[in-house]
Order: sequence, then structure tokens, then C-alpha cells
Amino acid sequence: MPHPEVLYERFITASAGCFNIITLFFLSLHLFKNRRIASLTAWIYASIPWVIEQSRIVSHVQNIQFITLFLLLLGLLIKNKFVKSIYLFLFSMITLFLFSLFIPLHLLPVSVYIQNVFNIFSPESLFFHNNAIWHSEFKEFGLIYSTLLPFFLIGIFYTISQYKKALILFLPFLFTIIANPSYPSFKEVFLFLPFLSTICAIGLHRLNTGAGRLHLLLLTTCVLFIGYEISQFLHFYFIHFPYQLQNNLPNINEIF
Amino acid sequence: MKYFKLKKNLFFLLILILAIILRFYRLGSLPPSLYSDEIDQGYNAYSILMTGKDEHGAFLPIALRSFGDWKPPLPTYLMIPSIGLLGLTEEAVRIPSAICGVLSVVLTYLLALEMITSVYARKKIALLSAFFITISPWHVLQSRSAMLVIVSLLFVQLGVWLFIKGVKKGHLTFLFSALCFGLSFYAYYAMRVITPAIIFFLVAAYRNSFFKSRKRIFSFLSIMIIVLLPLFLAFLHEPDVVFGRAKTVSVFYDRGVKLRQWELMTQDGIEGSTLITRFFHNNVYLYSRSILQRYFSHFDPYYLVLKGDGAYPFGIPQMGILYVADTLFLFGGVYFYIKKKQSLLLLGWIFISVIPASLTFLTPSSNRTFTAIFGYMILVSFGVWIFTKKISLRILPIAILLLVYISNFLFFMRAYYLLLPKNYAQWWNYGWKEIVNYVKENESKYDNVIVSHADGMPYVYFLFYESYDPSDFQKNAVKTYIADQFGFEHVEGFNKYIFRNDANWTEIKDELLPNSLYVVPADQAMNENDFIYASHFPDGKVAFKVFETK
Repeated sequence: MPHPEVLYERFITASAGCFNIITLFFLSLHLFKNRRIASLTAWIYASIPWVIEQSRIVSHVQNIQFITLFLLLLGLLIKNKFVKSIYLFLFSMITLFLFSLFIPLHLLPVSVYIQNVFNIFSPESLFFHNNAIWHSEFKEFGLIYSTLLPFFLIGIFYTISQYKKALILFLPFLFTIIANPSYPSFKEVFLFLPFLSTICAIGLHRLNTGAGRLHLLLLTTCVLFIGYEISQFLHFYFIHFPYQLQNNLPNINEIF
Repeated sequence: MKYFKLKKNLFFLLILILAIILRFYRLGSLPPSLYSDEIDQGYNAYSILMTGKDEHGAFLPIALRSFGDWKPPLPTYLMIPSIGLLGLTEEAVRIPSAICGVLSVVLTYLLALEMITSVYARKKIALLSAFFITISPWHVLQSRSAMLVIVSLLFVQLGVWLFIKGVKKGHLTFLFSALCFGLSFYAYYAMRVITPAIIFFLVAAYRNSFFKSRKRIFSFLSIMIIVLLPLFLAFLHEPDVVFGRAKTVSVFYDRGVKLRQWELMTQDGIEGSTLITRFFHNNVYLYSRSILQRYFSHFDPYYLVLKGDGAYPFGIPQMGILYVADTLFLFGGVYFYIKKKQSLLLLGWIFISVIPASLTFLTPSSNRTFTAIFGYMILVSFGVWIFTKKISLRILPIAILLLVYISNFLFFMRAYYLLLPKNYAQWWNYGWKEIVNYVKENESKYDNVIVSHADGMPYVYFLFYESYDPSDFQKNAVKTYIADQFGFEHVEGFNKYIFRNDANWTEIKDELLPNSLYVVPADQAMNENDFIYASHFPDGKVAFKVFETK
């Protein structure tokens, strides 16, 4: 049984995890003006393996995620355009400053930026084999489920064609990841997950708006496969993950 | 002269000249050595030319048994004229590939014109496609080596072009497409999956015209059946003719998945429900996931641009198989290609091309997915064209675009033409030619020439560089026809040559034969300096050492 202090900190992270889902829902709702996209974003984010795992341990990235999403949402709710612009500018500066406290930002060679961008958008990292390294890493799953791949591709297409402005909001997160010399050996890749959830949600929404039996059949099949993959993760997390963690315990020097 | 006055024809001619230069310049010495697959095809072509039979004595084979990998024979047959003219030389082996590479550039232009529809600048895009495939590192690498895939790409491109032309205009060309598609089955293993899929896509895309005439359908199918009949009959006699090394490179042969399954099932424990264990750790899920992972690894930008193929000799030092700039325009090209509702045949072409490679455990593989290059270059061209349209041909962005491509191209030229021959010659099994020439000059003094275990099937280098009599080899070579763990069959020896495939120098030197010459890779005899001869890599390192016993 973990120490009460650890339990307390886990409770805070778990709460932050829950609030992240709610915040993301309202953020998506505000950005896309579509309840379905917002619901799908929140649902996908809530079911991502890494989010579940980080919500159940002492995790500073979960707390950072909450602060940034919440402040972003607050900024978007400001109606006055001038005040909104100032707020978002200050938000970006503060975010970068806060990040620089936790994440050393360096001026890297261009080739490293290119390599990091390629890495984070590689199918391997996104869907099959999360190559971010942290003490309780699990390599069996990517950043998002592999069944979400077709939705991701469709979502990217429609995001670029219809929701370009939404992309801009996520750029600071992308920049902090690719600008970090430790990438992929650091947890802050986690901050990219809301963006990925949003893209997949847009793709899933577009597929859902299609008419006809073929669309329905495709959608039903995909949902069933997603369900299966989520169950795969839950089985892995509750049965196999403890074995992996036990082997790794001597290397873990922080409370989690 | 009126022809040349047309700017587009002039550009096309310039592109062709560039393609010829890039593919023919120093063809014999760059790559620095013939790889074992190349040299084996060359010798088999020589053997068929001289005796009508391959090295194993098969008359006009439908598949070349080779090292037990049953190579498709078409590229070898295409080498026969050049070997007849030039003899057993590196140029003779590679010239057919270089010619196929140049023709592939022409067909890229012609196909792009047919496949890009409802876009007013399709001729510009076609020209750009021809240009980008001309300078493509991936295409240049394969055009300058006899690795089968450039021949298969040409025949598929020809088949598709003739099909589209024929379907549109009702010409006899349509039937020639069936011939080309059928011949592609004899060009490379993967075409036995890719070609039928492409035909399916073509028939779906042009179904209205294709199904107009029953006579046309019947003729198409008849020609395909006639061309494929020898392969089918050979398959009945020997299934490996079709499957080759598929068994030993298949993802199902890889034990990694099985071991992981065993580990997970063990962790579930005896008390765990069998049903639940089977539900989560079944073969279908684990292998499907593995195949999907391997499939999408071929679209990883890191592999495409930075890392390239990990398997020698399909890699280019310090870079991938596409330029950095290609990737940027590739993504843009895909986006606008879909947005402008172009034919899905092109995207289907790329996605189909990757399927055979994803069923192997050696991924990502640039060789097995080479057919996709056509699709990639069209999409890159599309992306570049859209970019130039959006910037309204302003000088600064154009200059930046040119600068980026020129720097990428020069980087490739340096990597391929300077670094590869000097520092990476071992990728191409460099050193055998020099050793064989030395042995040829001195072998009369010895009873035996023994080659210790070495990469690259050394026996075929001796056959090639000595222009060894094929009929003698067919009759007298000692072969067990027992495949090793990778599916390769070795030759034990012929004449006075003995190939110790089972043992390296540290094992052999305890029981040396008298009056013999021993050829040893340098890494097996690093601290031994009583050799009588050594061959060197271009960077000065020792490749092979030769020892003698009295």
C-alpha cells in the first residue's frame, strides 16, 4: 500500500486527469462549435493508454496539462478580440517560461528539429510503439490506438482544410517537444495528446456524417475494433504491467 | 527543329540526358562491386547463353534456383545480349538495369499524363514527375544495380500505360498490356501480389470501357494465362518457384511474435481463464498488429528521409531514399491530390506496393516496395506544382525551392558518388574481384583453394571472374541443396575450390590441408600477419587475407 502522502498526490493527479477531460471537452466545443466533435475528443483522450496510466500515478505532466488547457480555455472565452490577443500572447510567453523551468529549451541544429518532427509523426510512435521513455513506460501501445489510424488520416485532411486556426493553438506544445534535446526520452510528449485526440475526433466525426449502409458498417466495425483494443490495453495494464513495473522498480528513484 | 522548338519537348530531352548521365556514368565501378545477387544473375545469364542451362543445369529456367531463393528470371534473360557483347563484366550485368531505369523515366512522364486528369497543367506535372524520378536517390540506386526491381517497375509501368491507352482508344495496345503484366510476374517476387492488385484497380477505374467488349476481356485474360502458364506448370513441379524465400523471410517465420505470446500467456498464469488468455493473446491479433506495424513503417518520414534501408546494399550513406524536400511536397501533394479529386489509382498504387514487404520481418524495405516510387514522385510533383501556383512564380520562393533541391541533390551526389565507393564498399561485398584475380594467377601452384566462411556466396565470384566453364560447373559442382536457417543453399566446391560455409578461419586453421591456398575474410584473422597476400577496401582497410600451406 503506498504511503498516504503518495496517495494524496495521486488523488490530485487523478483529479487533474478528470478535469483535463472536461476542460478538453469545452475547449473543443468552443473551437469547433460542434458537440459531437467535442464529445469524441474527450472520449478518445480519456481512453488513451498513456492518459489512463498517468492519471493513476504522481504525474507532473498531468498537472501541467491541466494548467495549460484550463488557461487556454479561459483565454478563448474572452470575447473582446484585443484583450483575447493580449491574453493569448501572454499565455504563450508564460507557458514557454513555465516549460523552460521544467524542460530545458536549446537551440538545436536544424537536422535535430527535422528528426524530432519526423519521430513524433512517425506511424510507429503514434500507433504502435510509444518511444517516449519514462520509468513506467509501456512499449506495447503507441501514443494513440492503432485502430484510430484511419480516423487520424481523415482528421488531418479535414483539419488542414477546415480547421486551420485550431492547429495554431497546439503549435507551442509541438515546439516544446521537438525543441527538447532529450526527446524522445522525456514525458512531456504527453502534452501532445489533446491535439492527437482532436484530430482523431474530427476524422471519426467526418466518417460518421457519411450516409449509407457502407458507412454504417465501416463505422460499426471500427468502433468494435477500438473497443477491442481498449480492452487489450486494460488487460495489459492490470495483468502484465505490474510484472514490467516490478522488474523496473530498482531503476525508479522518484515517487509515483 | 519544330519539334525542338516546343519548350516542353526540350525540357523532356534535357531530363532524359540527365537520366542517362546519372545512370550510366561509371556504371561498372559505382557501386564499387557487384553484389552477390548481381553476379549470380550475370553468371547464370552467361551459363544460359553458353549452354541453354542455368548453373544448376535447368534448361531455360522459369525461375533461377540460384542460392535457393529462386530468383525470377526476366532480369537475367535481359542480361544475355549485353553479356554476349561485353563478356562477364560489371557493365554487362548492370546495363539492362540502367536502360530500364531510363525507360522508366520516359514511362513516368507518359503515365503521369494519363493519370492526372482535369488539371490544366498536367503536362507540367508530368515533366516534373520525370525530373524528380530522374534525380531520385532511390531510383538512381536501383537503376545502377541489377537487383530485379527496376525491371519489374518498368514492366508494370508499361502494362498500366498500355492498358489505359488501349482502354481509352480501343487499340491493340490494350492486349500488349496483358503481356507486360504477365512478364512482370517473371521480374520480381512481389509482383505476384502487386500486379493482380493493380489490374484489379485498373479494371475498377475503367470498368465502363473494359467491360464494353467481351472479346477484349477474353483476349486480355487469354494472353495473361498463356504468359503465366509456364510459371504455373513449374509451380506444380516445385512450389518454391513461386514462393522463393518467402517462407524464411515471412513474418510468420519470425519467432519474436511467438515468444512474446508465450511470455504474455505465462504471465496470465495457470489460474487465468483460457478463454480470456485466448481472447487477448491470440495469433490473429498479434500477427495482424505486427503486419500493420511493418506496413506503416514504410511511411515513416524518418525512414524515408533520414535513415533509409538498413539492409545493405539498399542503403545510401547518411540519408534515406527520398530528399528532405520531397517529404514536404509529398504531404502537400497528397492533400491537394485528394482535394482535387484525382484518380485514386495512384494512391492505390502506393498502398498496394507496400503489401508484400509488410508480410516479411525485414522491414522497412526499400527494395521490396520500390514500385511505390512512381506514386511518390507524381505526388511530389503535384505538391511542387501547387506550391509554384500559390506563390505565383515569385522569384524568392522559387529560388529557395531550387536552392533546397540543389543542396539535397548535391548531398546525395556526395553520399553516393564519393562516400559509398570509398567508405562503404563492404556493403557491396567488395574485395572478391581482386582476390579471385590473385588466385587465378597463382592457383596452379596449389592442390586446393579453400575459402573460409564469408558473406556473399563467394563461389559465384570465382565463377564470374574466372569465366568458369558453365557446363563443367553444372556437372561437377558439389552441392548439398540443404538450406541454411535463412533459406540459402550453398555450394561446397568445384574443381580445386572448397568453400567452408560451415566454418570460419579459427575453426579451419587447426586442420589445414597441405599445399593449399586459404582465402580468409580479414575480420577472422585480424591478428595474423603471416599471410602472403591481402586485398584492401578503398579506404585502406584489409578485406581478405590469403594464407598458404606447403
